[in-house]
Amino acid sequence: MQNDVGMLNNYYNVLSVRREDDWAVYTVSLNPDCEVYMGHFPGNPVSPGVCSIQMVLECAERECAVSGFGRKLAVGEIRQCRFTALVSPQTCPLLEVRVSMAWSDVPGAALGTSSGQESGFAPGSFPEHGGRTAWLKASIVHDGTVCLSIKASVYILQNPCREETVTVGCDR
Amino acid sequence: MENDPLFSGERIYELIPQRPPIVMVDALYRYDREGAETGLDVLTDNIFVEDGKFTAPGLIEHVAQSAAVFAGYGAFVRGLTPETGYIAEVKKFRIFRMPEVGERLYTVLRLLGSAAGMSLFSAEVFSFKSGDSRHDPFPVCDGISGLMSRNDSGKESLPGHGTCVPAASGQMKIFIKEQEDDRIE
Repeated sequence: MQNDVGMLNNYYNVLSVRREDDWAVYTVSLNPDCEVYMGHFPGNPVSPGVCSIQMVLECAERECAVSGFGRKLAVGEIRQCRFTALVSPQTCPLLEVRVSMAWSDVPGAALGTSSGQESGFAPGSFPEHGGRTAWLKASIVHDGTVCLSIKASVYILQNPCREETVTVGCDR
Repeated sequence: MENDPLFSGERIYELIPQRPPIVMVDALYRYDREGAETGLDVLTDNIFVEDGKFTAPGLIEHVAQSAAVFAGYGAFVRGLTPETGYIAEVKKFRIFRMPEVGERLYTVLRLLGSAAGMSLFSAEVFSFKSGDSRHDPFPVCDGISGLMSRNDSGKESLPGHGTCVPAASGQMKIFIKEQEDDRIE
């Protein structure tokens, strides 16, 4: 299994992925040597919640690439993200990142309500928007404890996906 | 000058426990018990910048650290050490555009309520380029404080800095341990 380097340098490694129904479950390991811990916090390494969100987005991007929808996702709205347990490389050497995506049929359509206002962004207000939109649901679980649960609307930034970017195989 | 920040640059370290490479706020402009106004230059070596844009995690962390600066300033003026806070929840956090490297963020933070160490904030993040008027005329930005003034064309502007546009808005719950003020009166 090839190790990905995401946006955050040296933050985590993907060890494996399995797919169950609508969910992709990535097993990842956190790197205690990541430079982010120099500042968060000195003498007290705590994985930043936003870095957990970034891991979720990158696993969702891997699913997009596998599905052929595109390679990069952007966030339209974090409808809700709850952090329910602290994460650190010392206490959580292995984590499960579970992602599931529900794609809208209409490219660029606002999701969630007919008015479009509730869902968080108006079609056409993003210059680069033209790709498909989806509701992303995800959770991060450590040893049976849910550390993060999130619901967000996301949209494809780039189309189409390129073969060489699919680096994680799957067990169907 | 009335636009001078209360705290900026390395003095921010007196208010928050975060350190490089994950310091996501570089100025505190205003503070009162109900909220604060903060800023951040989007720099190319920011760990949350990708393809020249400041991404969602960066915007969320900027808001979280704006709340940390708010709490830290409250502790500072009482002679206390700032506590470490943790994001408990992000709610209805909408991203209208990803700010680009070279832009400056300006954020209006409001404390909506707090109890037992848990505080709920709302935030509106604006971005602008110095002296640049190429942004589309977005609708009125709600809730802008006195530092912003409406120019003749109806666009919000920071004095001397060009036109600002909304980048993000949302709510956040932060948990910070409450401190007893143990000075003897």
